[in-house]
Amino acid sequence: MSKLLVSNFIRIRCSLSFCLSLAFILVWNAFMLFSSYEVMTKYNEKLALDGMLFSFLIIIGIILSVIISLFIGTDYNDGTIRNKILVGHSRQHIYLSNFITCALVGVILSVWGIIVNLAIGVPLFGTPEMALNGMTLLIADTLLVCIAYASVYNMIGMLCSSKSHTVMICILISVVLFFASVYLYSSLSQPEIIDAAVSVNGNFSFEQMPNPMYLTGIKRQIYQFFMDFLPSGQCAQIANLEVLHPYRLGVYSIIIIAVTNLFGLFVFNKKDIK
Amino acid sequence: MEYVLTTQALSKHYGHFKALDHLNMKVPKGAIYGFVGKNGAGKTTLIRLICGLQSPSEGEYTLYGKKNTSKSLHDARRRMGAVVETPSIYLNMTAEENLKHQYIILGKPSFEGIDELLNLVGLGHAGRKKAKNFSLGMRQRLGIAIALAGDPDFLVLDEPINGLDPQGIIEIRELILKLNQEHQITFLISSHILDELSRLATHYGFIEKGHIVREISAEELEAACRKCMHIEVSDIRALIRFLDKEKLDYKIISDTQADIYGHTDITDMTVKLAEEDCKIITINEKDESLESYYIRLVGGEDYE
Repeated sequence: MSKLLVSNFIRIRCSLSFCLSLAFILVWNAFMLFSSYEVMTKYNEKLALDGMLFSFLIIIGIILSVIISLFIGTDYNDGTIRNKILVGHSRQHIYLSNFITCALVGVILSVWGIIVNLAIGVPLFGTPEMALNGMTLLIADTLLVCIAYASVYNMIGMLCSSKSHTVMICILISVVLFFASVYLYSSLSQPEIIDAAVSVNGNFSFEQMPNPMYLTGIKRQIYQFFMDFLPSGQCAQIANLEVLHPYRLGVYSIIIIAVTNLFGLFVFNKKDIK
Repeated sequence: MEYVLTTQALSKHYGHFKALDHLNMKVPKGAIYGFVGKNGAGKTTLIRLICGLQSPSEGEYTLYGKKNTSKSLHDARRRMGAVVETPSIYLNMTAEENLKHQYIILGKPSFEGIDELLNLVGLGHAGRKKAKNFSLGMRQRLGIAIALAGDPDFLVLDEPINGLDPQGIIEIRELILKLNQEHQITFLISSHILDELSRLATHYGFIEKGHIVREISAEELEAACRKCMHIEVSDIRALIRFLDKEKLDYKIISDTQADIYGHTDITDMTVKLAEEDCKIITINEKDESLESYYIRLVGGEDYE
């Protein structure tokens, strides 16, 4: 499998989409940091770097969907996956080497995002204020969720024989996941009590009353579960530093990685390749 | 005789469609095995199976004596190279990069021999050009170079001269003959271009509706190909009457032309036809080609 890994690493290193992604994360992070810095100086507020340290996670799902689908799809599009099988590499090794490569791409992008934020953010906002343990936990969750994304996209790429279909499906899934997380996040962020304007004899006054949009009971638990389980939900929580269950997020990512790889391997082993 | 590849009742079904139906074939070591069949006969399906791209629905095959169910098949597969349908090359890489990549996948310790390989397939001048800018013929040659990177003893080529210009066809033919004669590489070549195949093949396998209808060596084919006499006459009815009377096997080509199989006394025929006022306009002997043998074997009506 090491031969396949070396071959993949050389390909990804020369990949235009990978290099552009690194550049895009740099620009995105710089934009977010300088925008916040402008707000901070304008309103003379004190902002901590912590809230911006993982801002790139909002878009990491979409970025990974593009890189991975193009990388895996090319093997089918150019027919080069046949060369790997023909020279005697087993299907398990081909699948796993691609997963490891995609996972490494996810790890590199997230580490790059953090390094860029620290490199630009520390001179502007000072060092992060959160405890080292908390930050380590968030970084671990970040790496795991990126590997979970990679695992899902790798599975789609390996099971779909058409590059254009792979790219389309991966990007579509990333967008659907993104909007699902936006919906879940906004639903869960609803305040329990709201100020409502009440008119009595033509006089308006504000009264505190229960928010009808506030989720309670089993519905809230279900929404929270999906927010914790879906990679996009995890990314939203980490990016906003609103992680309620840091250990649970890691476990869910590990479950996604295990299930997608086992299913992908099982189907890929039986797949007819043209 | 030692065989590189044998198949026993090999079948492949896609739903209810039987792409291969209990196919039996044997590719002798050192042969150039011409695999002949019409579109959809199952040629590419068989190649996909033996390359490990797909699994058989029934039956089995052995490659260098290793059964397809055996774990050591991977080792046997290292002794083969293939170009299946389109050449398997990274289009955004140069020819040299593609070969380096294949060397890495093969686990070769160095990139030694890449220049020689490019020269061998006639791409010595194009090593640094991106494959996406290659002509179809150049891509085909690069595909063969990649298949040769693992120093195979058995090379499978699926329609290797499709889309090539006349010069490219000659070059590929010479390359195949050179590799077969100088490097003792066994070839399995599927092709529609029967005339071209007949210049190369030492053995033939004719496939029809998923199974081999005949396996034959080039010598046997030559012996089996019937010689015939092509005749053009002024009155075809008179000729038919004569041929029927003499109980000769024949085929009417047009209102004035026919092919006569088997031996016939030309003097006698000339006299008899003259008695019926029928003139012989032209007469010549002709050999049956691989193409006509194939059409006779599988039936010409639905030949594509």
